[in-house]
Amino acid sequence: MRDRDPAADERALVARVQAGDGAAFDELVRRHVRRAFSIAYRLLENRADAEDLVQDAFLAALEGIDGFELGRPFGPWLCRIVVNRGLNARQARSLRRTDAVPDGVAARTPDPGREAERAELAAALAVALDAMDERRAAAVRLCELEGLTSAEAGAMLGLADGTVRWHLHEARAELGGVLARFRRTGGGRPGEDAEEAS
Amino acid sequence: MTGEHGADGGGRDAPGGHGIHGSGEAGADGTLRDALREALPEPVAEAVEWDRLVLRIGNAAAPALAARRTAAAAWWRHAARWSRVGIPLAAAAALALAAVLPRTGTPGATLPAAGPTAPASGVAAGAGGAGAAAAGPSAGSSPNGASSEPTLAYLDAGDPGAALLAAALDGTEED
Repeated sequence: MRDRDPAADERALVARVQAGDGAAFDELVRRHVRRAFSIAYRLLENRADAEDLVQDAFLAALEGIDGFELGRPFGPWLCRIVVNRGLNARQARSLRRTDAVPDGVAARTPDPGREAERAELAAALAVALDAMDERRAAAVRLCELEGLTSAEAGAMLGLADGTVRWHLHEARAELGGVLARFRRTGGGRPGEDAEEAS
Repeated sequence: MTGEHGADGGGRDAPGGHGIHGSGEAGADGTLRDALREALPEPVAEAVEWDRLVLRIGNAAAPALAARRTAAAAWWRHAARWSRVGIPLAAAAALALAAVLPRTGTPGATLPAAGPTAPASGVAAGAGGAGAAAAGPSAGSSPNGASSEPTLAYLDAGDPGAALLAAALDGTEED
């Protein structure tokens, strides 16, 4: 049983932030920072960039919090800011993709042969995702990797549920093609896959 | 990660994965998802110093929050400052008006109710016309029993316009 209604609790928290209450803002950040960071990381694939993006998104949310409709959930609103700014950040700069394992990622299996094969597939899929329309790639990241529903992803991307599903369908077809070619050839050059996928 | 697995009735694929393709492609979607998850690694939560990140965001937001507190307080400060000046000023203005208005000779304010002809007769009297007599004994009388002259101070007797106006009004009355 819950002692308090979380929605009412969050509404009160947002109202306090609107009045400039720093403690309320810290609490709001504490509640949503993990989710926001996870989405930011999915979009930018770099921990430092994701942290910067999360900070930027929280500041933007604070700046526009007077326009936030009390009673609506704060999380999706914040995540929408994260996604929009993340997409802009991706467009504004070319993300450097290195062969090294990114910082803060899960440990891989130590088998060198399998690791090399995975790295090749990872590179092929990553290149194919980069070649996609930004919103389509974001839909894949949010739904397939972050576990959001198509409706939730649509709300963040500013797209209809059906549009997100269509993007996912197309993306799966493209990425499935990359995967099939990779399996068929037992590896392959990511560049070729990307060219074919695009 | 989190997510309502299939909670929206089809928007999201179940972890086993069949999505919009239908169950026939369940395996393919699952494989693709696994491949994607390997290709695009997820951050390890432990690698992020959450407290430091929260503190960093809080510090960055401090000026904006302070500005909000100041803005919220500024309304009251404005109201208080203006009330300190405005209330005495309004009271003084009200007293001054109360003192000055009866002396300004506004016909409606000084003349007793004498009907619609009262102002006209006052004008006529001030202009030296014959309307004073026509206005009757009540016209232009003042509380102190003096003549109607105090009510005519706003008209210059030598003003030809006033004389013309008086004559015209006089004629109207005679009609």
